Parts: sequence; structure tokens; C-alpha cells
Amino acid sequence: MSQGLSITDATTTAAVPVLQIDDLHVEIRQAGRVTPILRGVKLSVSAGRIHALVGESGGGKSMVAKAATGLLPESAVTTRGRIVLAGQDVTRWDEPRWRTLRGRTVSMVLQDPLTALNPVRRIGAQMADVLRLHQGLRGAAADAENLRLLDQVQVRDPAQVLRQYPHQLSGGMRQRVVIAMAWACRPQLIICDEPTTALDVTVQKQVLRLIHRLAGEGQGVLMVTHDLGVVAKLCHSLSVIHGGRILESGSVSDVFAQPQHAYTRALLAATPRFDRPGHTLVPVDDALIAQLDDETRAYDRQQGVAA
Amino acid sequence: MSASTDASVTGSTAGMAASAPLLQVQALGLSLPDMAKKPFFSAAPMRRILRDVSFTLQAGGTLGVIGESGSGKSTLARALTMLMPPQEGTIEFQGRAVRDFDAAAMVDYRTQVQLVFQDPMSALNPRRRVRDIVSQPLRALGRLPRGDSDGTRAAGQLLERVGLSAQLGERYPHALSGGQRQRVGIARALALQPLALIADEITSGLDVSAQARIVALLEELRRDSGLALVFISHDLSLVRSLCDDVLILRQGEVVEQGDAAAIFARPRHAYTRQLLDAIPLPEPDPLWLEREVA
Repeated sequence: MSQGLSITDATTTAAVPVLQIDDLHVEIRQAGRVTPILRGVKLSVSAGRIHALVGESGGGKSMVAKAATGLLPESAVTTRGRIVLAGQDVTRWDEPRWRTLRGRTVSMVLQDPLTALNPVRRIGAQMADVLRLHQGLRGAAADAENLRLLDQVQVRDPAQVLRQYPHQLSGGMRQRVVIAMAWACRPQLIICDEPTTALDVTVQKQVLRLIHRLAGEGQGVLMVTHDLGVVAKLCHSLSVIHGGRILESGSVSDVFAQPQHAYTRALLAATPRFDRPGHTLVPVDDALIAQLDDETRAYDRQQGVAA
Repeated sequence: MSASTDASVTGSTAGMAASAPLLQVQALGLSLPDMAKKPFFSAAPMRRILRDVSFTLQAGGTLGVIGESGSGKSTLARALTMLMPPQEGTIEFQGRAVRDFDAAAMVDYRTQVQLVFQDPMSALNPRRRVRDIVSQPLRALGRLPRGDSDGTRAAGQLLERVGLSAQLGERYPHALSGGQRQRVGIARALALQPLALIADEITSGLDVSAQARIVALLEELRRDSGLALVFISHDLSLVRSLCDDVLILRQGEVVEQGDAAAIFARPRHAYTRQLLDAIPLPEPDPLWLEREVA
């Protein structure tokens, strides 16, 4: 009896999402114009799992990432729905409250590590900021933790990297440093926004391997990407987004075996395959995009948004 | 008598030009000063960027150049268009050495072999309308057609050729999407009706659909106008779908080159195998992440 209970407990803990977004509607209100950007987004990321948010540019995927870190632009208004982060409803939190969560509960890895790092400060000093701010570590304790973090992201000579400036590192090294900083406080959720787009393929593989290993330690990862190859190799589940609407969600094995939505199939057909001689790339059909845009407008009318 | 010899010589060069490949590159080498190692009061030591690169591009042919950052692939694009003249080796255009070209011949060479840059945002003037950008090569060489002195009509035709609406010509580059901007770059390169395009990483930074559109456009240009292409990319899958021949560069040296189908089916060099394996194909494979290819 008690054994059965503990098993249920274990399964429920495993299934507890670190990020749960329900029916999220966000619109931009600027110069008297209202533009919906997220239309009923629903997704969840569980602990120890990597969930992908896939779509083309302008589809709203970065906006979801921003909403989940409290970094939406000032002009953005959340009109409906909710965001639950590590058990707390953060939907309408203000900036001071978000600051208590960022770094500690949720952190972010951005596409371009060069803009994420301060160009005129040494790597060691920037990493020490994170540890001082969130964990109160200083001096020798911070140095030791920095070395441990860089070692964990497989930086070969951590002591030297700590003394260097961002421009002295290769793109892959910089992205490792950013990942180390994001992982520094063991946040429950890490949002990676196109983390490997700017990297060479061989370096990309190393960074993906790293994200996979770190996620194995129990953190949830939301992987924002346009690369279905990365999704297939790294992630457990995915949501496909277009026009701020989630068109399809499911496990990676199910969706790649049988994509339900025409847009998912179109994205797959547009992904190059070197292993298939004679495979011709099919750009996403204009008619399909027009149809999706029609559906989006119909959705807006139904929601009563004046377009 | 001498006149007839002259005529026959001219005739034979013309014949040679027709049979000679469009571009013949032999043992190309290029070095640049290594500013990181520059002593304070003397000149920087030279560092080899490209070493012994050779290839042939036939009229209408396609060559894919594959390499990661630091492989020298962008330098190769600049060397081919003589923006960075190589110190070693020869480039022959239709059988004539580019090194010996006078100013007029060089202008002609650069109209025939056009470069499309990686980052359209920095390659397009942000303060000029798209139609002026696209028609600029015609204006610069005084080749605007009669009755189209501001180039609007020519620009409209060029934009339509790359699948954009002529109305986009009224906009500025910032008001276009990344894929549209890259097509504007291609439209400008096509303005002077070149024989070859050298495309330097023109699809990086675009999402899959915009990328597929650019590839389809390049394929169409090659089919319809016999445009030759040097497609420089780090993406082997794209090279595979576009090019007949490939050349794989690593740290300035050719690792492997030849027929694309053969190399992709049976890569001989370990580095090529490693590159091929590192491409994540859109197929779930739990073993891929931990797999190491020797």
C-alpha cells in the first residue's frame, strides 16, 4: 500500500511541469494599434525533459521565450491565460518580482554569445557577478565555483579562459561560457533561444551534447529553434508555432513519424537531406501560408480583436 | 601576310575562349598579415590563409565549397573576385590569366563573376531604396536602358526575376525580411547578366523555408540562364542539393574534392565523415548525440 503510494508520488513529481503556459494571449498596443502576437499558446516543460518550440521567424517563438522570462516589451499586454513557473503563477508579475526568479529559477541562453557577454570585462569577472548576485559567493569560493562550472561545460583550460575577454574566445567557447552562467544556479528551467544557430556543425554537436547532459541532471529545457534536425536529435517533445498559435504538439517520435499538421509536413519537406540523393527542397507553399493567415484572422475575429 | 596571321591568332584565341573553362584556378595561395602577432615597431608576420587550392568551374557548372569558420572560404570568395589578390597561383577566366587584366578587363571580369555577400544587412545601403540598390550596377556602368533613366523599370524586372514583387523596390532594406534582403542581393548581382555567381554563405541566418526558396531560385537561374555557381557554405545538405562538384576546405587547405555524389556516398577523409555525421538530420536517433566518428 505504502509502496504503491510512493510510486504514485514519484510519477507525479516527475510529471510536474516546471513551466506551464495555458491559453496565453499577448498583444502589442502601440500608437493606438492593437496587434495580437500570441493567440492561446499552450505548452508545458517537465523537469529533466527538453521541449522544443519550432517555427519560422515571425511565428512568435521568441515572444513565448520572452513571456516565460518576464522580458516582454513594455508595449506588450497579456490579455488572457497564465504562465506558471515552478509552481508560481507569474503571469502579471512586475520587474522587481521577476528579478527574484531570473537566474535562480529560470535562465536563458541566447543565440549570439557575443552580445550576451560584456566585451570589456574578463570572463571570470562576469561569471563571478552571477555567483555573487544569486548565491552570495565571493573571492576564492567564487573562483573555485567558476572553475568547476567551466569544467562542467568541457572548457579545456578553465583557469586561462577566466582571465580572457570574450573576443579572445571562439564562438563555441563563448557559447559554453554563456551556458555555464545560465546553469550556475541550477535553475529549474533553462530557455535556449537558437543556441547553436551561429555555430559550426561540429561545434553545434558538442554544444547539443552538453545541453543534453546538463538536462539529464533534472532541469527542464525549452529549446526555441527553427532547425527540425536539432529537434529530432536532442528533444523529447515539441510544439510547432505559426502566427502565435500552436499548430501541433506531441512527442518527437510521434510527430516525426506522423506529422498531423500540413505546416509541420511543409517544414520537414523544406529541411535539406544530404543522405537522400535527388531530394529536392520544397519551400513552404504560399497557399498554405495564406490559408494559415486566413485562419489566424478568423481566430482574431472570433476573439473579438479588431485587426 | 602579317595581317592574316593576326587574324588567325585572334580566331584561335576566340576558339580557345569558347572551349576553355569559365574559371580555372591553380595552386592558389593567399597570406595576410597576422595582426595578433605584430611586434610593436615592425611589420606583422604573414599568415597563410589559403594554400594550394585548385579547381575548374565550367560554364553553367556548380561548385560547392564547404568549410567551417576559419577554413578560408570567405577569403577564397574575395580572392576569386580579386578583392584580395592572391600572392600565389593563377586564376584563369575563359583561358586568360586574371592577374594580367588591365583596368577595363578587370571591370569586365567583375561584371561577369559577381559576388553575393553573406550578410545582406551590411551589404545593402540602409539609406537607399531597394530599386536604387538593385539598379546601381547598371547606373555605375552607364548601362541603364533608354527611357528608364532612374532604373525603376530595370529594378522591377530584376526583383521579379528573383521572385519579389516590383513594388518592394520602393522600400528600404530594413523594411524587408532576411530572405527578401538576400534576394535583393542576388537581384543586384544579376543586374549585369553575369556568367557566374559566387555566393558566400548566403543562406546562413535564414530559416528553412526562406533557405529552400533561395536554393530553388539558384537552381532556376542555373537551369534557365546557364548561370555558373560557386556556392560557399558550411551546410553540407544544401551543397548536396545544389552542386555537382564539392571542395572541402579546412584551415585553408583542400581536404577532399571531386564529384558531389561520390564524396557524399563515400567520404574518404576522416574530416569529411566527421562533418557529415555532425549534421542533425530530421530523424529521431537517440544514439546520434553520443556517437563519435573517427
